[in-house]
Amino acid sequence: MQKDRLEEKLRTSLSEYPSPLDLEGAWSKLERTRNKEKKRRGVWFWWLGGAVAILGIFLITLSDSVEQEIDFTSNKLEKKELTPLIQVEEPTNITSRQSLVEVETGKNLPIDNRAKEKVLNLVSESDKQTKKPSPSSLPNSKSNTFNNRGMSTKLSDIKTPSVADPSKEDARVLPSTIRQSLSALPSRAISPLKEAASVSLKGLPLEEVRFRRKNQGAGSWWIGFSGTLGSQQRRLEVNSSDNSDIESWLNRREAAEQELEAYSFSFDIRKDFGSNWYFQTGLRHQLAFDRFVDQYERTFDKVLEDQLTEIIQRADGTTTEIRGDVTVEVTESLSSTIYNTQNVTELPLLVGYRQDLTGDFGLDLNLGVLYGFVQRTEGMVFSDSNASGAYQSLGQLPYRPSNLWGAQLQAGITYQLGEKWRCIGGFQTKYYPNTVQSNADFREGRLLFNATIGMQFILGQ
Amino acid sequence: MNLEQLVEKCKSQSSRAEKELFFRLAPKVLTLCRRYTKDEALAQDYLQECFLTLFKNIKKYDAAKGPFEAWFYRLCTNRILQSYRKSKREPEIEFRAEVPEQSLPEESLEAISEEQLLAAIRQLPDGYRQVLNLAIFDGWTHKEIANKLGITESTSRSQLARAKRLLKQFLQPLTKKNYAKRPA
Repeated sequence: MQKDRLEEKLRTSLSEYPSPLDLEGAWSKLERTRNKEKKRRGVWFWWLGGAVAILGIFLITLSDSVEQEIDFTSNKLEKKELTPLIQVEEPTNITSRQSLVEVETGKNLPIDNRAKEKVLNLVSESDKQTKKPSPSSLPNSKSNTFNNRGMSTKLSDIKTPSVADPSKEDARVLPSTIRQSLSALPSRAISPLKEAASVSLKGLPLEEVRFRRKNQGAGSWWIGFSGTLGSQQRRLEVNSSDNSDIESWLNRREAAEQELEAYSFSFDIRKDFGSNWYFQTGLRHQLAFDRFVDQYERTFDKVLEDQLTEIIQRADGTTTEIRGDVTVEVTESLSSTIYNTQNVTELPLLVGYRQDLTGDFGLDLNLGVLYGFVQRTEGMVFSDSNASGAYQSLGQLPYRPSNLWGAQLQAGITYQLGEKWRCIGGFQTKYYPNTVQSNADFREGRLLFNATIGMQFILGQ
Repeated sequence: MNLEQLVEKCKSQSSRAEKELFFRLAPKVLTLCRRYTKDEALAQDYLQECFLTLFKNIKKYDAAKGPFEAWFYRLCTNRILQSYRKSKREPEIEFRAEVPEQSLPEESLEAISEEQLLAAIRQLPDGYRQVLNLAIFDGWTHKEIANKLGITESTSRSQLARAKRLLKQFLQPLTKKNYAKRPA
């Protein structure tokens, strides 16, 4: 009856009891919180916008690179229509040539004698049938120059294959693999002279070629993918001064942690400035695992309620049962393994320096800031306990999604794979001063050591 | 404007109606929040979270299923328990000595003020307080409590019994003091 009175008193007194509250102040605080949430939703919008913008830049760059100008130093087959440099009357009696001359140029390519003979035959045949105009007789011949990637060459300086001495150095870089593609477009017939001129454009002095090869990275766009694998170290600190219980708890947690691993995968976009410096950004996702084992044991007096303790038999034959609490000493132990995951999506802004080493190898260093979003998932708890009742293990940290800042330092070795691809391997260090919300009563800094490997692909300028 | 009309306006995201609803219900909801935590600042945070959840989910309220206040208080209770679970650290492990049964005279109970009752409830350990609140104020069954808090039904029962005993222990000196204060 007494119990019911207490319950009734509690219900009647407190069910409708209004606590004193500054309503205006509480309402304005609520409105502020709502506005913050709206802004947070806005942040996601900007993230999405940024990702779309990066994708857009990537696609535009990719489409531009298809139409890029002739690269004298690359080994690719040119598919660009040659711009007529000299207006020459087409010889009417040459009808057999209906194929496009595809030119493959490059340094150190073997000289194809058959192709060279073919060019010489073409020129001599052309000389027989038409009067070859000398460069000086051409209209505006002195001003006839062509411009390719900022390099201007006077037409008069061009040596035709017929006058090139195969023993000279220049001849070695002549289009030795001039191939007359029989499968080329039939509508693209060009005159032998034009052909010869276009052929001779490739006959740049060797020094020029060397210069261009050395500076091929200047102004180039690159895209790449890279992955990292490594370990992380965590530093837990208490924010406020009156949290000694939290401090001891964090210490215990630090001591209990067994393994901390981190993996990441990133999409990189890179722009070269000059021959050595570059800027790199992209999008990176990092997955980090925490694993810790919590072992706990306690001995206490467990109360077994409603146990029969005594039966009293009176002289008149009546009996009375006395029921009450019985206390027994119990030892409970608990062993839990907890796996947590931490997802970080981040945008790196890096400045790098690349230096050629011997051969195809290069040294690559970069440094920069990271801005991202971290979300932590409470992991699965695997417990082994002899506890009879509900008994929880070490609590999870009160993580909430939050933004984070960090810094990165990476050193690697690059290796050139052909003209377009480059692979990179090295070490990466990242540091995040705080990965939890600033108003939490503790801080968590992370230091990560990763091995990194990746591939890069040049898109062109 | 009665509460149901106000709720309907809130469903159409009327800022004025939301403010009026807040002004009408916030003091009572704050009492509910204070019952669940001894930390005054945390109670204010819970209040904010309850109303944020309400305004996000108010369209889900169906008047045919029951009165608004009951639905909202249930929502608040769930929100508070969720927040508690997220922010909990080391679970409280109670090594309390068994509390002897106390008797409180009926008249003395009447003399205890609401704030004193509230203060006594807030002195209880977290586990006891949660069970007491859910069982007495929110009318949950022990089965529901057990499911929600991840404990057994027998634990829920025993925690409620101990919570009441402990509450009486806390109230005992108050009744004496109040008796002494009473005019002769």
